[in-house]
Amino acid sequence: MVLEVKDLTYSYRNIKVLDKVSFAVKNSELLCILGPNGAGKSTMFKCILQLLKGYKGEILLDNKKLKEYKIQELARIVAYIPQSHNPVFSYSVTEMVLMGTASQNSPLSKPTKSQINIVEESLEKIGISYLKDRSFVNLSGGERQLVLIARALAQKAKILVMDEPTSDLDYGNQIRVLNTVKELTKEGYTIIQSTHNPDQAFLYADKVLALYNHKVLSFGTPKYIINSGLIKKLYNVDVELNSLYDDKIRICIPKSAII
Amino acid sequence: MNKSIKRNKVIILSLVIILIILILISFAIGKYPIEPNQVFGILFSKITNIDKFWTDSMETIFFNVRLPRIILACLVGGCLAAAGSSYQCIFLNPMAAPDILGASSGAAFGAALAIYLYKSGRQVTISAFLFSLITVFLVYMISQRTKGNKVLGLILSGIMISSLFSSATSFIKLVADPNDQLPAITYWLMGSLSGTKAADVKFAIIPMTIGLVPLLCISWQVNILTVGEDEARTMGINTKLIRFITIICATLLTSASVAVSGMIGWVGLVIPHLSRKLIGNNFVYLLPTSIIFGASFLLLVDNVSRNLWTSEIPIGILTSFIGVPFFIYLITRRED
Repeated sequence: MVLEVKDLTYSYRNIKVLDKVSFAVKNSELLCILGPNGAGKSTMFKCILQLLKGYKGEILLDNKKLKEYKIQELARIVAYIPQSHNPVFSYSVTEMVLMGTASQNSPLSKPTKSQINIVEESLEKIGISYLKDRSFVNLSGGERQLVLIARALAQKAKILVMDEPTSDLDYGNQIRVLNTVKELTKEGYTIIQSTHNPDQAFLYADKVLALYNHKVLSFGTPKYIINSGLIKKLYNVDVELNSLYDDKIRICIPKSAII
Repeated sequence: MNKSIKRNKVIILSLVIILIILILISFAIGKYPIEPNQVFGILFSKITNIDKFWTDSMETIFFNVRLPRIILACLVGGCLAAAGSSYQCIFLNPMAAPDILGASSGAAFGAALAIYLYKSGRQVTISAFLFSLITVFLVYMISQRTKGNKVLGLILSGIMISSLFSSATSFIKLVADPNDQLPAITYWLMGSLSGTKAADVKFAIIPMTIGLVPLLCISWQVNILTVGEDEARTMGINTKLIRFITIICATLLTSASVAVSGMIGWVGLVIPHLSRKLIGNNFVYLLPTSIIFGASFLLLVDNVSRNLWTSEIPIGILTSFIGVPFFIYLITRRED
């Protein structure tokens, strides 16, 4: 399975927000999108999810245009995991995850027993079955993020799009969420996520896409494309790259902190 | 999950039992009391042969006066509460009420206009119903042309068109005959179920059914709308269609209710809110709970309205007098 984005261009009131963005991502790959605020990451996600339809260029899944799928079919291909948020009306964790299964049933019907089984499997896979009767609004940010991941699994989509999944989380929850996501790639899921932390890309990503000024700055494996020059250009920070454990891991250290 | 489903079913069943008891009590009490055994006698006499142990006038009151009024109180209470809880889901706002899109102010204008032109009668109900629908249609059309957030556009155009029709109603009150038309308009605006006839029930029941059935069918999808537009769409929900159906249905419910009963506020805002506290936000259970709870509440208030004083107090006034203390008790009560 290959998701291919070709020359994706999106304009908002004649201003180009995405300019000929191209990349491809396979199953079992975790793609990290790096880029400063306003580089076009969220717009790109909305195009992939077909929430914005007026784009130029093509988004292909195994050579078939995503535009051509019906909204219900699309739900079983791509799932969206938003930043953990505070919904207006509170639902139980089970109800929340159950919503993900909506595309598997007719719009007029109520959730069935088999859908509830799917919910229980998904919760178990993420390891949060103990949360199932809790109210979603009473959960911590990390737990909410895990519930939203479980919902995406219940949706039966194989491509998961995550918009800055760790931005509001404490350090421990960031690691837990990213480990969970990394485990999913081993089962064949494709993850596309944006992040502001280049170290996360080194730790977890298989591929990195650097977006700058609405264009692709570089695309490839993290070790190949992330260097001090790229970080300087993206975030205007001078960093020194360090290699640890025989180059198994690399980290960025701001030069201002070393002196 | 199973435990909470069972709990929800028990709550709904208890509410149904409370409603049935209330209905039986409502048949019995009034200026001409009917004994409880006579109530059952009259009821079952339609099914089997029972020796008559009640008077003919009791039977007339039972079928021609109390029965339509009880049915209408239940219908209006249930529909207003259903409309309120639906609008709350659509607008992601727990403070949304059935009049949010101008259905009530449109109906008020329609009724006032008909009273001004025709004095009274069937035209008032029909005109109120039609103007209510026209108002919401106008609001919806304007909102489709607004830029940016469509939900916000709906609320804003609702506020604008409502105030336009309120001013038009005020103008009619200004030019109406102060001896008979003005009091009639004022009384209509207060909302009342007195003088309910079988024809009112027949008029209201069709739009109410057309409104309620689709809502009950799509109730699970409406839930998913409340987590947000983008998320719902990526989960395979046709958000535009679901929102459109919900608005049409909730509007039919509101318009039909207001047309036959006048302005009965409060029920559509607070009953959904209390139902949320009772059964949670899952619309699959919230909708039936709101309907039954709303029906019971309005029937109860109507009983007070027709029995407590020698001259009847319009129910639109009483809903808040009875509801507000109850509501204050509930929101200030410590949860143990």
